Amino acid sequence: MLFNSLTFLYLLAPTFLLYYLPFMHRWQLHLIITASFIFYAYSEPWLLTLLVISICINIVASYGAVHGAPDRRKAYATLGVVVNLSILLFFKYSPLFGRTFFSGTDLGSFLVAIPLPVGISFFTFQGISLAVDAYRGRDLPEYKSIIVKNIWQHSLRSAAFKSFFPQLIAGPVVKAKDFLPQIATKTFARVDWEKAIGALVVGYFLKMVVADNLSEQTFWLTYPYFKGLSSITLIALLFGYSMQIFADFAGYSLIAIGLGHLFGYTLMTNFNFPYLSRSFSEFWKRWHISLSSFLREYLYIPLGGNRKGPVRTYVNLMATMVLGGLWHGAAWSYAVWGAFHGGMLAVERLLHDKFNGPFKVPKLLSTLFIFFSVTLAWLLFKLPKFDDVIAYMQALGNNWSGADMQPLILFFIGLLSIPVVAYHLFHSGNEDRARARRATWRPYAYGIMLFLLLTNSGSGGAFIYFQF
Amino acid sequence: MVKRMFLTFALLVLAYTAFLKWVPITYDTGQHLQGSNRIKAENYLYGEVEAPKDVIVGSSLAFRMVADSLKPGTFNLAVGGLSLQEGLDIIARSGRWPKRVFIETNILFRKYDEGFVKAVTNPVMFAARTRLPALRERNQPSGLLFGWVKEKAKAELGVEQDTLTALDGNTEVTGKFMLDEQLVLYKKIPGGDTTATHLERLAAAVSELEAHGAEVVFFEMPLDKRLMEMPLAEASRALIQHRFPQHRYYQAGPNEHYVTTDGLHLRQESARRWSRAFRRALQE
Repeated sequence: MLFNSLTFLYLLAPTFLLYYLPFMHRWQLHLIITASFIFYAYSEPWLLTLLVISICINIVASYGAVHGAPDRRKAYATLGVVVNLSILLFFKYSPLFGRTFFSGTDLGSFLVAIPLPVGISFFTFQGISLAVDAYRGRDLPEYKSIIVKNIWQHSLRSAAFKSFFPQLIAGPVVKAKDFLPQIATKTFARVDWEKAIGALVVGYFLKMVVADNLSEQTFWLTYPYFKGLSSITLIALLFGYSMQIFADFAGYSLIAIGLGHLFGYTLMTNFNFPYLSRSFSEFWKRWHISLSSFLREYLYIPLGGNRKGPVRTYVNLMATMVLGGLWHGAAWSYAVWGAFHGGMLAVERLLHDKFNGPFKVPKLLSTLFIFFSVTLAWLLFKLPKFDDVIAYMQALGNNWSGADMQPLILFFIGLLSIPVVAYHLFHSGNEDRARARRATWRPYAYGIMLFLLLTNSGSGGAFIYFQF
Repeated sequence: MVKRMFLTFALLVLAYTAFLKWVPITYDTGQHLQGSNRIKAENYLYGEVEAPKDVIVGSSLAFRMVADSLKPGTFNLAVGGLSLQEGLDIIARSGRWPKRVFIETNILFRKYDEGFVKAVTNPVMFAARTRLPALRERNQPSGLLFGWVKEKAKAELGVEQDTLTALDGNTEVTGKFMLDEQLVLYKKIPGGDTTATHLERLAAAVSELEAHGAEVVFFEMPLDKRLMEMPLAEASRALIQHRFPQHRYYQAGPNEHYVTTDGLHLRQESARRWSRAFRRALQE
C-alpha cells in the first residue's frame, strides 16, 4: 500500500480515530499491529506470512538473549542475526546468485524466480537490531525493561516495533533501543501537531509534486531512449534524477516521521540536507542517516572500525560500503556504487591522516565536488546494467552536437528542481539566522506546498526505495 | 503555525479557482506523456456537451493524428505509452457513448494499465474534479506556465511546436536508435495465452460499444515499411481480421508513403497527410 494512495487514507483515518478513543488505550499496540498487517498484506497477502515468521523468530531470539539461561543467551542472539540474514540473503540475493553462477540450469531458474518481498531489507535489519540490542544490554537494567519479562507483552511490543507501518516498507531503519522505550499509552492531547503536519506536508510535497513529476522527465534516462539525446540534456537528466531520488526518499522518510508523530512515536531524522555536504563522510552523516548509523553500529565498528590501524580502517570502510551498496539491490552495479563511496571515504581518511586534519578546500568547491560525484554515481542506481551505464557515458561524451536538445525536459527539470535547491539553501549558512528565517516563512511555505499538492501532483508512482 | 498554513492554502485555492474561471486557457498544457494522456481522458470524462460522435482509441501511434485534418468534433482518445484498451475502458466508464469508434490495432498486446484508468475514473476524485476544476491535470500550474512559455516562444521566436514539445521523445536522432530496437521486437509474436486474453478483452469492449449503438471500425497506422511486413505486424493484422470478420478494417494503401521518426511514429507532415486520408476514407 502506498502512502500516496486513497486506500492508505482509508486505512489511516479509522486507525487514527480508534487509536485515541479512551477505551482503546489498552488495545493501542494491537491496533497498530493489525493496521500494519493490513498495510503490508494489501497488495500481496501471502507476504504477510514471511513477516509474521520473521517477527516470531525475533521475539524468541531477543527474549532468549535477555531472559534465557545465561549460557544460551549468546546463542539466541546469534540465532536471531543468522536467521534474519538468511531470510535477507535467500529472498534478496538468490536471483543474483542464480544469474551469476547458475545461469541456464534448473537451479538458476529456480533462484531467479524467487520474488523479492517488499520492505525485506528494512524489517530484517530491524530484526537484527532487536536481537543485538537485547543481547548487548542483557545485564543493564534499562535493557531489561525494553525486553520485558512477560512473554505476551514482549511479543506485542516486538511485533509493533517490527511492523509499525509508517516505517515498515522503506524506513527509516529504526533501532530497537530507540523505539521500544517509547511504547506507552498515547493520548490525543499529546500529539505534536506542528511536527506531524510539518513533516507530512513537506514529505508529501517532495514525493508527489517534485519526485513524481520529475520521474516523468527522468524516464528518458532509460536505454535506449537516452542514446539520441544531447549531452546537455543528458546532464540535465542526471541532475534531475539526483533531485528526484532525494525528493522521493526524503519525502518518504518525512511522511513516515509525520505518521509516527500522529501515533505518538518519534522516528529518527533520515535526511539532513545531504547535498550541502562538503565531504563523503559528511554526506553519509546526512543521507539515509538511519542506514548509515545502522551500518556503522552493527557492521563497521564490530569489524574493528578505525581502531586497528589505517589499512584495516580503509578495508573496513570499503567492506561496509560495498555491503551497504548490495543492501540496496541485488545487482553488481550496487556493489560498484558502494565501492565507489567506500573508496572515496577511504581516500578522504587517507588525506585526513596525511595532512593531520581535514583537507582544506573552499566550501563552495568541495560542496559542488561532492554533489557532482554523488550525482554521477546515482547513474548506477538508475541503470543497473553496466552496458547501459557505458552507453550513457558514451552518449554524454559524443552528443555535444547534432542530438536532440528536448527543451521540454530541460524546462521541467529546471522548474521542479527549484524546491529541492531552495530546501537546501534555506538551511545553509548561519544556523541561527536560518532558524529565524524558517520560523517566519514556514507557515506560508507549507500553505503553498499544500496548494501545489492539491493542484500539481504527479501520477502517484511507487517510491524508489521500495525496490530495496 | 497550522492556522496560518491553512489560511494561506485556502486563499491560494480560492485565487486559483477564480483565475481558472475568468481567464480562459486555450493552449496545450501537457507536460509529459502520462500527463497528456490524463488530460485527454479527463477532457472526455468531464466533457460538458454531449458525447463526441467520432472517437479514436489506440496508442501513441494514433496519438499523433492531427486534429484539424480529421472531421471536426472527432475526439482523439489515443493514449501514448498505453494502448486501445485504456481508451475503450474510459469510454465505457464515462457512460458517454459515441456514434463511431475507430480502434487503432498496431499495439495490440501491450499490458493493460489498470492504474491509469483507475486514477482518472476514481469516484472520489471524479466528484472532486467535477466540483473543483483546479484539481484537473490540464489546470496544473506548472503545465500552465510551460504552455504559456511555449506560446510566447512560438510567437516571438518563431519556434516550431514540435521542437518545443516532443512528448513521446521520438525525435529524429532518438528515433534512429528506436527503430533498431523495434526491428528486433517485431520479430517476436506473443504466446497464445497473451493474444487470447487481449482479443477476448477487446471483443467484450466491442460488444459493449455496439450494444450502446456505436459502430466500430478497426484501423492500422502506417509504420516504417520494414516493420509493416514483420511477424508481429502481420500477426496482429491477421488476428483482428480473423476475430472480427464483419468489421471494417482500414490500412494505408500499398502506394501510400509515410515517413516515421522511429519506425513507429509518423512525422508531423506524414501524420497530417495520413489524418486527411483517414478522414476521406472513413469519416465522409
